[in-house]
Amino acid sequence: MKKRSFQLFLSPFVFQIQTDIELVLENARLMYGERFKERVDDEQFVDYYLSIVKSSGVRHFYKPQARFFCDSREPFKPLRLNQAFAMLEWGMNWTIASHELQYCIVHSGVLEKDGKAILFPAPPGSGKSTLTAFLANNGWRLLSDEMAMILPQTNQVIPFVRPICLKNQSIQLAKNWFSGAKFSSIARDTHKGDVIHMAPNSSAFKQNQVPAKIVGVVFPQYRPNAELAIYQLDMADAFMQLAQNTFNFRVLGNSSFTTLTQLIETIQSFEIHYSDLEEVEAFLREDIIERSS
Amino acid sequence: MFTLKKGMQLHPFSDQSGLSIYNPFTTEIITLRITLTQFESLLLDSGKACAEHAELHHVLNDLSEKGIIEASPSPARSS
Repeated sequence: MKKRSFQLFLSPFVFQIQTDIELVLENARLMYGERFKERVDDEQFVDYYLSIVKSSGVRHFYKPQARFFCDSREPFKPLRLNQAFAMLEWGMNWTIASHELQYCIVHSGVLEKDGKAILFPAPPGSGKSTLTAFLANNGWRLLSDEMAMILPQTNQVIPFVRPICLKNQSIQLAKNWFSGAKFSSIARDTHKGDVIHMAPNSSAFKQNQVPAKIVGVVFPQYRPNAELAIYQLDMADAFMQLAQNTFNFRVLGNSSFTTLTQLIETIQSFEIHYSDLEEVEAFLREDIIERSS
Repeated sequence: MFTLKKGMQLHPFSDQSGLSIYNPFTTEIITLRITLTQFESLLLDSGKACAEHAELHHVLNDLSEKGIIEASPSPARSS
């Protein structure tokens, strides 16, 4: 396939992506639906120019690889060609986390109900994305699976709606639970294991310019067969954990310190250990959303 | 006697769980599990506080080494 370019309109950003990998094109089209523009509009302002292309050289014939570029920078080592779409998604995350200064960006899932948002910052393996996928398909609006973009000096989070990244055992679970959802091809044997992306539902995309007020932060920890355990965090603890999960804390400096300390003063903070997603959903709805003003 | 260096941002949490200090010159954040009143007393009368609680000596040393606080002359005594 010859190199082709397409545009992704993912409020608040526009990406223009060049690729010569059919798998990338097919998955982007499937995952982003109407946000995917096959024909590049040269008049359109583009925030980020990215490319994901096949590696060249002899290796290309016996072990084809994909390379990701942001402008001319190559932040990652090449990956196997079958991982190209996952690489593009990770590359888009890296691009925003490394360059955006307009928002305080926390590594976190974000879901909203009744105009109120809860952040779910968590390390890999905590079950964050499975929880995000479950909530996004059970009456909550997805703002992001990966990054909370907080407007500095406010408690407002703006959506950055993207596919949800599911790994290993979560893949089959999600396919069983959400039979009507759209899934990307599987990227096997990545550094995170097997990975798949699940497309956001259309209502999340339709409302991707509607911000939400943050009313809670929940640090989830999946524990097999565990009953739901809820621990309220004090402000000092919650602040430190939130700051550690903020991609651009050092770059924003004083602004991020003020934003996060003010935010912590106005929200409820919890750590939860769980295995039953319906129990978690009930806790979030009854104890955080309904009790917050 | 110590004082907070110019430019440091301090936020005491309203639930009294502690306070956080941001050093914009090094981008480091320190969180102490003491109230603002306790922190101010510690800076003001560090000798007494350290005599009563040995671990506070390390806290002050640490904050000083990180460039967050600085020693300042004690106020002159009136005769």
